[in-house]
Formats: sequence, structure tokens, C-alpha cells
Amino acid sequence: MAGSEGERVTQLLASAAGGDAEASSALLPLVYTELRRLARARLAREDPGQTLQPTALVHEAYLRLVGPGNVKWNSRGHFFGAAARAMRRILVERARRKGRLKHGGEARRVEWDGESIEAPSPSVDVLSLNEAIERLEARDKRKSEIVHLRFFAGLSIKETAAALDLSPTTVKGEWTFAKAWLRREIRGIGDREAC
Amino acid sequence: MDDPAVSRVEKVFEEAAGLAGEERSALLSRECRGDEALRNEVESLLSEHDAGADFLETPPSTVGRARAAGSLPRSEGSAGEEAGTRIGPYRLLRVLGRGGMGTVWLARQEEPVRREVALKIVQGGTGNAEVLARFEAERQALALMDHPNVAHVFDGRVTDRGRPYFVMEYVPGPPITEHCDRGRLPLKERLDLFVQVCEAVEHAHRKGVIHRDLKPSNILVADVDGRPLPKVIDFGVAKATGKSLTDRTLHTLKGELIGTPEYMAPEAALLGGSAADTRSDVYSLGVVLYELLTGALPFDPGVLRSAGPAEMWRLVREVDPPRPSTRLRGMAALPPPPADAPSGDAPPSAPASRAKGPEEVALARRTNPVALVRALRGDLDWIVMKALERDPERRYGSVADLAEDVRRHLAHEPVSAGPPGAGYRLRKFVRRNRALVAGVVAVFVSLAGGLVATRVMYFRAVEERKRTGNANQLAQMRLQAVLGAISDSSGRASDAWQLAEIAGSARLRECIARDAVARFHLFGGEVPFDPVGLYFLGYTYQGLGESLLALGRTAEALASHVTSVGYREALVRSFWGIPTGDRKSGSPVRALAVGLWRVGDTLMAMGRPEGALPEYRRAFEIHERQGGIEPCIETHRPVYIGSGHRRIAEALAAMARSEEALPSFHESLDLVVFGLEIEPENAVLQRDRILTMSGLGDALLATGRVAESAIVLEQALSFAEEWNQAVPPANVWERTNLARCALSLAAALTAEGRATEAAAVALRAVALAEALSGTDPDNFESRHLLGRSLAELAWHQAEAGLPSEALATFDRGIGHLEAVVAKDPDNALARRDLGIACFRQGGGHRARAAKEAEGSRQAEEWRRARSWYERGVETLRTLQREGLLLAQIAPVLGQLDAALARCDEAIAGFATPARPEAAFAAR
Repeated sequence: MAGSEGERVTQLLASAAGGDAEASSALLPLVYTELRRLARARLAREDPGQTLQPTALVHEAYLRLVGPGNVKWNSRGHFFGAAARAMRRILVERARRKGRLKHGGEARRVEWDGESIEAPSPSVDVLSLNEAIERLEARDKRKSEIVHLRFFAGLSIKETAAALDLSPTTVKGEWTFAKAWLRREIRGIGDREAC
Repeated sequence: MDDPAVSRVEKVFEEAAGLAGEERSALLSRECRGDEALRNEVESLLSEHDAGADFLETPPSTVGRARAAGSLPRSEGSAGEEAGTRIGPYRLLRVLGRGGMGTVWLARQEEPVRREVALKIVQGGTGNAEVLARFEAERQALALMDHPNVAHVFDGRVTDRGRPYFVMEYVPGPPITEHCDRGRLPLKERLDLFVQVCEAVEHAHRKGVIHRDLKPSNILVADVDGRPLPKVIDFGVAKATGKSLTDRTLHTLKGELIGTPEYMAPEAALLGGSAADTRSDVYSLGVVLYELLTGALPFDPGVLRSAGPAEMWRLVREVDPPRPSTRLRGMAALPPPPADAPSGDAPPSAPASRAKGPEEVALARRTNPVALVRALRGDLDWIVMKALERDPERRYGSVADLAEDVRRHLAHEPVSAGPPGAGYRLRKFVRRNRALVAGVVAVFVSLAGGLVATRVMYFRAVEERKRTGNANQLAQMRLQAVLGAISDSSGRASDAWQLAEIAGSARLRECIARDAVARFHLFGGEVPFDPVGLYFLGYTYQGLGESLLALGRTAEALASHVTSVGYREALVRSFWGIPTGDRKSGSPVRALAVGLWRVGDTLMAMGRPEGALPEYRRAFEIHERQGGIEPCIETHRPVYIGSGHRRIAEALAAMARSEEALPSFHESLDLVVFGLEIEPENAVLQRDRILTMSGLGDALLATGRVAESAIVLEQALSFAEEWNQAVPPANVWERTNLARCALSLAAALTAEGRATEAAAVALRAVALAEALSGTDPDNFESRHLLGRSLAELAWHQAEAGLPSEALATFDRGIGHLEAVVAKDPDNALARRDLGIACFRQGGGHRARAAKEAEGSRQAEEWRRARSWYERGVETLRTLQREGLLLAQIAPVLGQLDAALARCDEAIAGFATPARPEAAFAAR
């Protein structure tokens, strides 16, 4: 499925790994389109739809666009960086539309072997998180990058470290800090809205 | 955060986050002395940290979760050896691993060749002479082994301290399970690796060497020029050390268990190494395969350990492990990890015994849990279970057989471990021949044969049980049989389901659905159906109904859909009756409403919109009610309520109540457009938008809003064309909807006086219908569409002033319509279309009569017109007598009667040449 888009992505990854900042930002629309396309491919007939885990989608997109070949981790890091941003945008868009549709928590459901089960709903309000991340980004770009890779692309500490060329210890520490900071920030947003 | 104050907060926080209680307070007091602001900030963040252990940790990642080699001690050696120690010609470099049997070192050999080797030093110290003697005995065989996936064993000796050691090829790489999880290998790649492992073991078996201790840590994957190369290590070692290993196992039975026998065949575990043969290796490979597929062991090591030795042996001896797919499903039921679990890099740092969730397992295989269960069910379940048979006699006879089955699975060929059922072979056939699904007659015959065989076997077994008089077992068996039939059939039903939109699949779908139904009923009456059975019966009958409708067997289709609804009603009743049932889970309830839609759709095709309307209304109410109960899924309302409005509107329009239908069409369109805003790629909504706009356009035309209708339909057609670019070209439904939309637009254009354009648009419908009908000659829906498209094209051509073209086109179309009507008299729409086509053809001849200058030719055209009018009247009157489509055909019949009267008048005028003005009057 990689096709010409796949080739383009591979080229961009190579350029991005070589330090080409434009290549890095050109990745985003490609990955974004692929993620939307994948999501669309999941929808089936009149049966109740199934929702994919965002991180699973990201990895599938990676597989389709880059393939399982031996791409070095710093190149992969560029991909997942773009994918995480694309996924964040998709989630935020969905949350906004949904906000228009109805107020209420996000509930997801997957078809499980003929029965429907509910997947645990993410305890995070995407829009508040989005706002909080914007603020984090303004203060500390690196921590925001770590949050993207960990949360939106579902990378592990080790992978995040490899992608950002940091030590796992650093990533782990900053991740712990960023979570606490974001959580406080989000609760602040909630409090303001409650007023 | 370059601000030093901020980074100080960070530093203190990070340190304190790892501490608790007094240690933390001590740290805070120390670090924040005299800086209240710092302390406040850190404490505020710490309280967030403590309260939000799970925050942002879902969805979790599963990367690199395998027990890392790093967890093994690297520097400390076993007593006596340490890095740098020289043993024979080898210098120890570092510890590679440590097992119950001893320690494995990476060592450098200096003489006679410089190379790195793995050195395994056996611990224990008893029976050393025996170990070496056994190794010597095996040495010849080991030397004969030469296979890329077998790691060489170079030597076996004794250290200066009298401990035996083995020298082996050093394989730099992780165990196979870790390699697969780390690289997130999908099933196929895992199986490819596994087949290579089997080849290695098979090679050894042919040389007379049994491994006896196959497990992931003995199957390492090296990276050779960028490609993974699995290598089996330790051949011959287990046998040499076999006795002491058994001693150890038996010994530890009394106390703590060291080294669980998870990978050991029951006979080997129970009777010791001497009982092991090639089939014990088959068993071990089965466990490895189990783990590669599911990420879990057949028997939960935690359960084994906590069960105590006696219970453990009973489990291994008497209990069949769950099938891989079952095991994976079972993971969903496991409680989530406790909230106080370490939050940082949860996957890698989690203890190895933590149960993995299905999401996690699936993600490591680049798939999702549903797809993974589906992929495991069937072949892979059977292959693994056959390898894991407790009785060696019932296992694969050789590793080669096991490998062959895995290969066959990869090639979509039937596996030997599979059931002998014909339906299974059919599924495989379909998989391999997606493109050739139409050629199924032979398969259908074999289906029937397989069914009889199953039935005979079942009743024979029942008889036998009756003789032995064990009622409980009998009931158990029946239940098993029913569940087996259900899971077997559900596979079938979903096959039919997947084929539903593919051109050429109508007859095959019917075969599959009938076979599935037969399987259910084979055991019906004996055991009440359980909810799962009812669920799949509902789907199967729906699939059967859909295929029958396509095959031009409308009445049977209706019966099938009604049956489907019956099962679904039963299911909903039982579903709501289950006290613990999750009422929010709407699937069966929604399915019931979808079934009612299908009943309505079929009634519509049968020309009974007044019958369809109450079905549609009931479905609407169900969806409406369900929408209020169910967790909110943003596209549900647009999909279900939107289609609900549309169907009600279509029924009203078919009853010539188009004015009433308009608001419902508008409701539907609003919802669908809204839904597409949320999910632009939603296939159902895309389709609904096309259908709704087509219906709306038709209704506008029927109520005389011609210009408005043309605008709506033009837009609908452009949406339809666009959407058809996005779906596979073989998709029957989308193509059919596109063609119908084109026909609607053509009608509106002609009504607007743009007949030439209309003919061009109708030509598009003809091309689509011809392609559809050509791909699937059995599909009478497509044939109906073709006949109707041609007839309508002829009408537009006539209106555009192309009478000769019109007549030629009509001649092509009429045959198709007649064929459909002859095949399927219950298809009232086809009969209506035939009647209207005749009416228009009559009109064509009448127009020619008007153009003919010569009297006798005029008369001939009038007579032809009359005979077409008569056929039209005849066709439509029959419908009227049967009470079908009354509102629609009444005005047409009125026009036909008038037209017939004109014909008679004109013909009478030719009969008496004295009154030529009659002919002129016809103009």
C-alpha cells in the first residue's frame, strides 16, 4: 500500500534525518491524510462501527508508509513526531465536532467477536489536554515533544528516547514531570470552566 | 524551561517523585529549605503525580515489553568464574545468561582460530563424568548437523574445577519471542520465522538428535545482513545434562520450583528425559508457537506456580490449555493492573508475570484484538492444539508435519489439523480464488457431502454415549456439537458477509449461507440455541435473503429476512432477560432493526410499500430508543436515524405520497450531511447521501418541482461518481446506486426539456449496468437494472428526437426486463418497469406514425403502438389485480386507456379511407 506516497515519505524521512526542517513539516499532511484514509477503511456497512486505538492507527500508518524495513530510529522519530501531531489534530477535530453534537464524555466501543464491549474511555478531555499542551509547548518544546510521542504515537520511553536522541532516564524524568504539570494545568482549565 | 528556578523545581520534583512517605518529606525539607515557593510548587506537582498514576498512560505502548536481556546480571559470574578467567583455550568476557542448569558466558577463543563463542558452564557438580560421557556419545551426531538455523556445538569439556562446560556458536541476538515483540512483527513474519525454526529441528531429528529443551531462550534471532536469522542453540546439551535436569526438577517438586516446565511435553516432564522423543520437541515447538501468537503461555506460569506441585502435574497431565484465540479473548476479562503500578515506562518495567491486555498483544503484532482473534481462530488454533496434544500419538508425527501445516496456512491451503468439513475447504477455496468465486457448483456438491458426514458422525457418537448411559456426557457432547456448529457457521456466515458487495458472488453467497443454516439446524431441536447462535443465525439469514434477492428469488428472500428478524427478536428477548447483560450494548437491538429494514426493502421490491412502511416505522422506533440508551457514538444517529427517515420517505413516495415524503427526505439529508461533517469517509453515510438525494430528487420531480429536482439529482450524481472513485470497482451496491441515480437525473432532465442531455446521462447508467450484469449473469438485480436503463435510455432518445436509435435501444432492453419478470414474478418493480417501458414504446411508435407521410405505414405504426399499449395495460392490470403498486400505476393506466382509445380511433380512420382527417388529428 506504500506506493508513491510511501516513497515520498521515505524520501522526506531521509531528508528530515539529514536536518531538513522543511521535509519534517512536509511529512505532516501526508501522514494526516494516511491516518484519515485508514480510519475510513475501518468503517463498515450498517453494523455499529468500531473505533481504533489512535496509537494502533499511527503504527499501521507507519507500516503502510514506511514499511517494516530497517529505518534508523532517528528517522522513525521524525515520522512518529509527524504522526503524533496528525493524530492530535484528528482527535481535537473530532472532539470539537462532537462538542457541537452533544456535551458529554467520549465513549468508545469495539466489536468484539460478535459482542460489543466498551473500551475504557480515555479519562482525558482532548480539548483541555490540547490547550494544556499548547501552553507546555510554549514553555518547553522538548517536553511537549515527549508528550506527543508517548501519548499520541504510543511510543515507549526507550523509543521516545531514541527518537529524540535523549537518554531514557531523561525522557522518563521529563515525562513524569510533564504529566504532573499537564494534569494540574487541565484541572485549572476545568475549574475555570466550572465558574 | 531554561529558567533556573524552573529547572530547580523539575530537579527536586523528579527526585521526590521516586520517593514516598518520610523519605520524600526529608528530601523536600532538605532541598527546599528556606524556599517556600519552591516547596509549594513541587508539592503541588507531586500531588498531581500521586493522584494521576494512570494519567496519559492509556492507550499504553507495548514496545519492547519483552523481558529484556538487560534484566540478567551482566558482570557477576557464578562462583569461581569471572570475566577474564581462562578456561582451556577460552577467555571469559561477560555473562550472557543464567539458567537453572548453569551460566552462559561470552568467551573468546584464541587457538586454533580466533572467534567468539558461547560457553555454558554446568552447575551442580554431581555426575559430571556421566554428563561428559553422554555428550561424547552424542558428539558424532552433533558433528553431522549442518543447517543455517542450527547453532553449532563445538566442544564439551571439564573446567579445572571439575565442572562440565559446552562450547557453542555465539549467536548475538535476542530470544525469538523478544525479537518478534520488539520489532512488532505481524503474525505472518512470526510464522515465517517459526517455520525456519521447525526446519532446523527437523534437520536435527533426521540426524538423530533430539533437542529436549526447546524454548524461546534457546531460539535466538541473529541479524545477518539486515535479515533475521533464527538459530536453535543447545542441541545435545539437554540430553547430556538430562539426568541432572530431571533430578533437579523432581527434587524441587518438594519445595520451590526452579525453572518451570512450561515448554516441556507432559511425558517428558513426568517420565524424565528417557521418555522424550521427536514428538516431545513437537510439543515444545507448539508452546513456542502459542507464545509467538498470543504472547502468553498455554498454562499461566503464575497459576502453575501457585497451584502447588501436585495440582501442577494434574493440570499438565489432564487439562487441555485454552485455544490461542480463546486465550486471547480471555485476556479481556482480566482485571486491569492495580492503580498503584509504576507509572513511568509501564510496559518495560512491568513485572514479567503481569498479564498483557489483548490490545497490547495485538499492537505488538500490528493489528487489533478483533482482527487477531479472527486470525487465530481456525487454522492456527488447530495447528497449535494439535502440537500440544497431551498424548504424543495424537500430535503431529514429526516437526516436518507441523511446519508443513504452518506453510499451508500461510498459503491459504487447508491444514491437516483442520476439521475435515467441506465448508472449511470451501473457505480456503474462496481465500485462494477471490477472483473466481463464481465457479462454485462443484463446491456446493461437496458441501452437501460434508454435511451428511458430519451428521452421521454426530449421531453415531450420540448412539454410543446412549449405550454407555452417561447422560451428563451426552448433554455435554450436544452442547459441544452445537457450539462447534455455531463457530464453524459463524465463519461461514462472515465469509458470505465479506463477499456481499463483490460482483459475481450472489450464488456463492447463497451456498455459504445455506450451508451455515444447515449446520445450525443439524443440531437444532435437541439443544436450545444460545445467544451467540441466535446472533449468527440472524446474520446468516439476512445474508441468505440478500443473496436470494440478487438471484431473483424475491419471495424466498422475504421469507429469509422474516426468519432473520424472528431470531433477532428471540435474541433481543433473551438478551434483555439476562440480568447482568449490558443493556447499553446495542448490537443485537440494532441488528433487529436492520433486519426489519431488510424485510421492508424486500416488500418494496415486491411492490408492497404499504407493507414496508410499518416495518420501517418499527425499525425507526427501535433505533430512536436505542440511541437514547447507548453510549453516544457520533455517527450512529446520522446512520441509523438518517437511513430510517429515508426509508420511510421512500415507502411514502412509492405509495404516491411524495408530498408527505419530502420532509422525511430532508430530515434524512440533514442528518447524513451532519454525519459526514463528523466523518467524511464514513462509507455508510456516503452511500446514504447518494440514496437520500436520489430519493429526494425523485420526489421533487413527482411533485412537479422539476428544476429543483434536476439540481438535487445533478449534485447527487456528482457525489455518486466521486464516491465510486473511492470504492473498489467490483462493488455492486455502489455501482447500482450510481446507475439508479443517473436514471433519476435523466428523468428530471427530460422533464425539463433537456432530453439530449438526459440520453447522455442514461447512457452512463446503461454502461454501468452492462458491466455489472456481465460480471454476474446470475444477479437478476443487475439484469433488471440493465433492462430498465436501456428502456429509459430509449425513452430519452425518443424525446430527444432520435426515434430510430430509441427503437433499437428498446429492443435491447425489453428482453432483459422480460427475462427478469419471467424468472421472478414476485419482483413487482420489474413488472412495473416492463409495463411502463411498453407504454413508452407505444408512444414511440405513435410518434413515428405522426411522422410517416404514407398512409399504410402510418397505419402500421398505429397498430404497433396499440399492441405495445395493450401489453403495457395487461402487465400493469395484473399488478393492479394483485393489489401491487396501486397508487403508482393508477395514473399510468389512465393514460394507457386514453392512448389505446386514440389508437383505436386512428386505426379505425385508416380502415375507412373516407376519413383521412382522423390520421391528421392524431398529430
